[in-house]
Amino acid sequence: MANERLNAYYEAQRPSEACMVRLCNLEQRPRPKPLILRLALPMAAACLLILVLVTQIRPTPEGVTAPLATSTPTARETLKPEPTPSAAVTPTQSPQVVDGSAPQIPVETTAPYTEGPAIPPENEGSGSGRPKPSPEYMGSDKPKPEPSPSEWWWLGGAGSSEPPSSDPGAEDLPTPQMPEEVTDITCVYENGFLIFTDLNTGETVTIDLTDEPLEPGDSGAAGIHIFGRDLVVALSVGETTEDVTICLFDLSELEAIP
Amino acid sequence: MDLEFQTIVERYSASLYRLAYSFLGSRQDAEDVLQEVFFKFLRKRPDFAEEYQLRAWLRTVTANQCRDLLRSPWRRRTLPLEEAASQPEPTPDPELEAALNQLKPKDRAVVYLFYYEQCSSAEIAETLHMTDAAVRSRLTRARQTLKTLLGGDEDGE
Repeated sequence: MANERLNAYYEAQRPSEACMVRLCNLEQRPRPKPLILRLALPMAAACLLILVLVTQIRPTPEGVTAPLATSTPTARETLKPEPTPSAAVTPTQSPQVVDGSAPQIPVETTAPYTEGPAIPPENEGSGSGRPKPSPEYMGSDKPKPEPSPSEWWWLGGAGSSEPPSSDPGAEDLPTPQMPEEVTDITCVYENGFLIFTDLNTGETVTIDLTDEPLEPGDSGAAGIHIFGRDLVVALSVGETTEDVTICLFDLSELEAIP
Repeated sequence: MDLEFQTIVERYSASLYRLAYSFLGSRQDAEDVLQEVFFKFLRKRPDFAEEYQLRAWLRTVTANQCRDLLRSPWRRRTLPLEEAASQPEPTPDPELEAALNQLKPKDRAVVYLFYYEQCSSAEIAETLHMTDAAVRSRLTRARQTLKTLLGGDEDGE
């Protein structure tokens, strides 16, 4: 009796007609693609997006690269090259001091200019009067007060390619390979402006630092895209703002250092 | 064994629907589970030598699907429209249905498989992923509950 009641109860339970029709038509429905195929398109789109983003982040001819290094110990460690037994050390000349009267060529080396034609800068200084502020940006760092030349020797500004013996742990460090300075572009700091001059074309670009002028003891380095090239500007201010030492390096050469 | 899909649907849909309904107590959910089970069958196209293997596979997949649905937090937070509107589903034996609904979902499934499908406790244990002893225990408990609720003649013996 109990089983009959249960059987009758269960017997009455059936899927609806609509459900049966759906089930019978299930085979005719297009089969879903395998997971890998379903994911292929979104993954390709994501890869493309990442590629585009990475490309956008890289410096463009109009843009300025981000500051590369400062004179802080961390940046110093970062830029310190790997030991290269055959690396020839080529110390650069001693930094020159700009007296503020006229732009001077601070450094000269024998590195040839091999890049393509320079892109004319957006602001060209005429050489007379106050130079126009440039929209181009250059980061200025104030990492440490009272830096000593031994703290930025690696930027090529102290006239020595080796760390001073007073540098703690210097005897453990490998001899770095110094990049050659850029010779066909000069840079001077004058009245709160950085004035870049392309010696090949005579073009001048001025960067306004009057909002945040250099102060005695400032030192640091920054990347800049100028005259169609990616340069690293390393500067150090002495006891006065007229005692500014500026060195230019080609970023590609820095990157080429092993 | 080479059965047409439509033949398999016609042969097993009612049985699997009842199993799903025993678990879930909802026609809509049972039909959804049924559809998902056959959809999985189409995707996997399992090849069995004997039909009882296919039957066991379909039952196991149905039970797993029901268990997943019962665990789903989404299901626990929603109420079927029919229940929300206070319209009970038509049933041939409301008293028995009410008594069965007092049981736990797994106990209802055990009762269905044992009494209607006449599965052995070992088969039920395999389908529902439990031990043989657990099946017998659940069966005994369900019998006692039904006996209490229905007036003492639902011991099934």
